[in-house]
Amino acid sequence: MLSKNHRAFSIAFALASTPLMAADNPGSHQHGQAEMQLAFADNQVEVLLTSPAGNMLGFEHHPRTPEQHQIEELVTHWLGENPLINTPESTCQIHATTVQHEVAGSHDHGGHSHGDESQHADITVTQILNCTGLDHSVSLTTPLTARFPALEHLDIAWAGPDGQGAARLGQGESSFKLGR
Amino acid sequence: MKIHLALSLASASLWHRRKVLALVCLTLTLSVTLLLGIQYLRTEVKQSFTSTISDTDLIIGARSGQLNLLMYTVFHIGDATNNIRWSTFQDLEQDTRIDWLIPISLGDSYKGFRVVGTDKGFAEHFRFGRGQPLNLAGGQWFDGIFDVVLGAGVARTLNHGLGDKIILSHGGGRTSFSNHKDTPFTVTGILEATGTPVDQAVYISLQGMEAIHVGWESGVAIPGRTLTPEKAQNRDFTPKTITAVFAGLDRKILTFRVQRDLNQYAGEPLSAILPGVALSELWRLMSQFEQALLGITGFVVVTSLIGLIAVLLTLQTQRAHEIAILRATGASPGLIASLYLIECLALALVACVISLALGALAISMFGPWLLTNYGIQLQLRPLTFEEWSLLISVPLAALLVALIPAFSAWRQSRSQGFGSPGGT
Repeated sequence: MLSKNHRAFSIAFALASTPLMAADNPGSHQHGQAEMQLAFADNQVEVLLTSPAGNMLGFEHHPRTPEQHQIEELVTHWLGENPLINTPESTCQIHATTVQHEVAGSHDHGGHSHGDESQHADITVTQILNCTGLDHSVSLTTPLTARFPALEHLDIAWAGPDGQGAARLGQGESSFKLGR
Repeated sequence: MKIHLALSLASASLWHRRKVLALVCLTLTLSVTLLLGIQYLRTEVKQSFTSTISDTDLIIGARSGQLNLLMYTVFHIGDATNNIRWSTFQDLEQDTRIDWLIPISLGDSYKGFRVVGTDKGFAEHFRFGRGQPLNLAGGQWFDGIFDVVLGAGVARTLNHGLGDKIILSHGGGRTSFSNHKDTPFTVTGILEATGTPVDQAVYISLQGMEAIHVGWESGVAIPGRTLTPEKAQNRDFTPKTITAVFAGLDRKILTFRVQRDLNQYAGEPLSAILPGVALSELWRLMSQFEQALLGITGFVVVTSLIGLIAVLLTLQTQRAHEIAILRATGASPGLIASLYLIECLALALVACVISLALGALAISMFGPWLLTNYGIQLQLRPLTFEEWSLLISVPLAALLVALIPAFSAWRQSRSQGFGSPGGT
C-alpha cells in the first residue's frame, strides 16, 4: 500500500508532466481570484485548486525573510492537512494530497527551487477526499475564503453523476449548493 | 377557554362580514398567487435553462471562450470561430475514457432556423431536462441522405408535416438567396416539444450536409457541379471538418482530466467545456434580473398587505357596535385585540391555501399548452424550501400587519364606556 507521501508525489508528477505533452497557452493569473474543480464519484471527490500564490502567501517571489519562510511553511502545511471542501457535517477525510508551488516561476519541492523571479507564481493543490454522506449532500463548505482574506473570489466548478454546476464565493461566503 | 372563546367569536365575526372579507381575501389571494407564481416560474426557468442539455459531459470545439462555444452549439446563437478536423473526431473515438460522441456540423439554415448536421448518436444520446431523451411526435429519424427531422417549433411555425419537401438555404439568416434547390429534403420525422433550443432547429445527417455542399466550394452553386439526389447515391460523404462534438464519459470523475487533456490536444487547438458549468455561469450573469423579478413580487405583496390594513382599519369603524357589545358582555380589551389578529391570520391562511390550489390547477391545465406553443416547460412539483419560506412569510406578515388595528382596537376598547358605543 502506498504511503500518503508517495501518493502525493505520484499525483504531483502526473500534474507536472501533463503540460509537457502538448503545447498550450499559459494559464491566467488574476490576484484575488482562485479556481477550484471538484469531480465526484459516490463518496469520493477529487479536488484541484489553482490560485495565485499572492492570495495565500502575500508574496509571489521565493521567500527571502524568516517571516516569509514561516508563512510559506504554515500555508503549505495548512493546505496539505485541511480538506479544501467539506460536507456540512464535516465528514471529509484526506486520502491523498499534494501542494505544488511555482514561486517566482520556479518549481519548489522541499526547498529546492530555481526560476525567473519577475514572473507571477501559482499554488496548485490536489486532494482526494473521502466524505461519508457526500452523495446525499445538497451543499458543501470550504474553509478557503475564511482562511485567506486576500481571496476575493473563489470560482468553483463541479462534475459528477448528478450533473455539473458552478458557483462563485465571495469574501465571507463559505458554502455553496450543489443543485441536487 | 379564552382561546376557544376568541376563536368562536372570530369565526362568527368573519362569517358575519363574509361578503366584504371575501373581496379582501380575493385581493390577498391574487397577490400571493403572483408571488408564488413568479418564484415558481423563476425556479422552473432556471431549472429549465440549466438543463437545456444534460448528461453531456463535455462539448468540444475549436479554441474559443466557453460561453461562445455553448451559445453556438446548444442555443444556436452566434457562429463558430473555426471548425475541427474529422481526424480529431476519429481520435476522440479512440479515447477509452469517452463513452459516446455526437458530431455537430452547423452553417446552414432553413427559413431562419439553424440546420444541424449530426448522426444517429444525437437521437440515442442527447438528453435534456432531468435526463429526458428526445422523442419523435411522428415519423422516424433520418435514414437517407436527404431525410430531415424537424424540431417541434419549426414544424409548428412553418406548418410542416411528414412527407413535406423542404429546400435548405446556404448560410444563416431568415432570407437567403442561396438555396440548395437541387437537393430538396423530405421531412421524415417531427420531434416532440422539449422547451429547449432543440425545438428551433432542423436535423439532417452529416452525409446530407456534405452532399448539399458539393459544387458550393466557392460559396455559391457552380452550375453543373452540384448534385441531384440521384447522383448523390453511392458516393462517400465522409466530412472533412465538423463544428463541434458532444461527448459523454464512462466515469464522470474523469471529466476535468479529459477536459485538461483536450485543451492541450497536440493535433489542433481545441476547447473542451463542461456545459453544466457554462450554463451555471451564464445564469449567474442574469441573476440581477432574477433578483429584480423577485423584488417586484415582494412589492406586490407589501402593497397587498397595506391594502389589508386599510380595509381592516375601515372595518374597525363599522365594528364599533360589535366591540361595544363585546365589552358590555365582559370581553376584555385583550380579547378584542386578539380577534383582529386571529381574523387577519385566518384571512392570510385561506388566501395561501387558495393560492396553492389555484397555482397547481393552472400549472396542470396550462403546462402542456405552454410547452407546445411557447416552449416554456412548467411541471407540477413539490415546493422548494424557498417557496415554502415565502408562503409562510405571508401569514406571518399578515399577523404583523394586524397588530396595527389590533392595538388600535385594544386602546379604543379600554377607553370605551359600556353605554356609549363609538364614544370615548
